[in-house]
Amino acid sequence: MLAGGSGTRVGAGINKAFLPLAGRSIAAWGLNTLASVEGVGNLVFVVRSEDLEHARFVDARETDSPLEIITGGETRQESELLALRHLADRIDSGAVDTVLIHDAARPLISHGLASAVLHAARETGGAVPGIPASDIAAAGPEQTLATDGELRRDALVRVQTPQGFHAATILDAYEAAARDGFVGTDTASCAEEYTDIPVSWVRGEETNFKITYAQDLLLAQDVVSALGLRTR
Amino acid sequence: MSVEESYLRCTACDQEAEHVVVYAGRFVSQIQCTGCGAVTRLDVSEDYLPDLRQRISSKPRRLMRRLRRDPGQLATSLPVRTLSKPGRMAQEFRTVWRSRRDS
Ligand SMILES: [Zn+2]
Repeated sequence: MLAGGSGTRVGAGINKAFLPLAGRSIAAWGLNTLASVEGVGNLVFVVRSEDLEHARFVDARETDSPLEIITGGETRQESELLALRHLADRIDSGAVDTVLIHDAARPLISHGLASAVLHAARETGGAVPGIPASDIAAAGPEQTLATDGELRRDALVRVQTPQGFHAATILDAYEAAARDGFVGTDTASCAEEYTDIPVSWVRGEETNFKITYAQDLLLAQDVVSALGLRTR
Repeated sequence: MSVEESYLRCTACDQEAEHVVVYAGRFVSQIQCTGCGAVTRLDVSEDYLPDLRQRISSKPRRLMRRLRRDPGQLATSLPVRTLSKPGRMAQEFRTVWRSRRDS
């Protein structure tokens, strides 16, 4: 799980991943859900060095399974690489066969979706949650919509996390990307560039949204109340 | 009531900025963007008050249990606790009430 936060921040505030959501931190919600999925063994929590204390608190007080806390890099991709290197021995020995990479800012990932991604990743080598983007249209010139029909709306999905991959393959891909200086937008883009893995998608969930806007906190606590989710 | 600050995007000015997030108990009751000043208030009383009521109603029983278990220890800690806890609770009530009045 990645809790990198967005770029350089100013002010004395805390990383949104550590804001409380209905009684425990945003990061803890996703960590506990992932930990409950059958087949998930190790939880690697990648944080910035200034957030280490928060991460240790989450480990000690808000999660049931132990966390392996490591410090991330400057970019998301570098943080993912460091997490994969942290697991490299276990990946080489075969103890870890698949990795799920998840954003801490998506606290309401369901047990079912995480299981589905893990299962699909084990089947095909790579899987991501996607939501068909029927509400996307191509922009044409001067505030008009494009009419040439290039864009097949049913062919687009909005991609979420967790993104699951065959561990040895994605570790190699990230090492190769690091050597080349390739920077992708997410794990799947790096996989597409450096592997032959056919990345499949499973149906994502609207409740698995990323906390980006401040008001998303209100939405998230509504979902927690509506679904009757428990803190523990 | 507790207050946190975090860097989030604002729905009013669409900028990334520090936001002041006010909690009434476990729930967010108010969010203010320090960039543009926009305030979002939420009436959290429906969700929140049962939670708070439960905590208040279970409090005397908890105190009685502790009193039976360890009368001496409680006697020394009681004044501080009875003074500070209702103070904090009243503050939480005010936050809820304010958010209800303003919304
Ligand atoms: Zn604003």
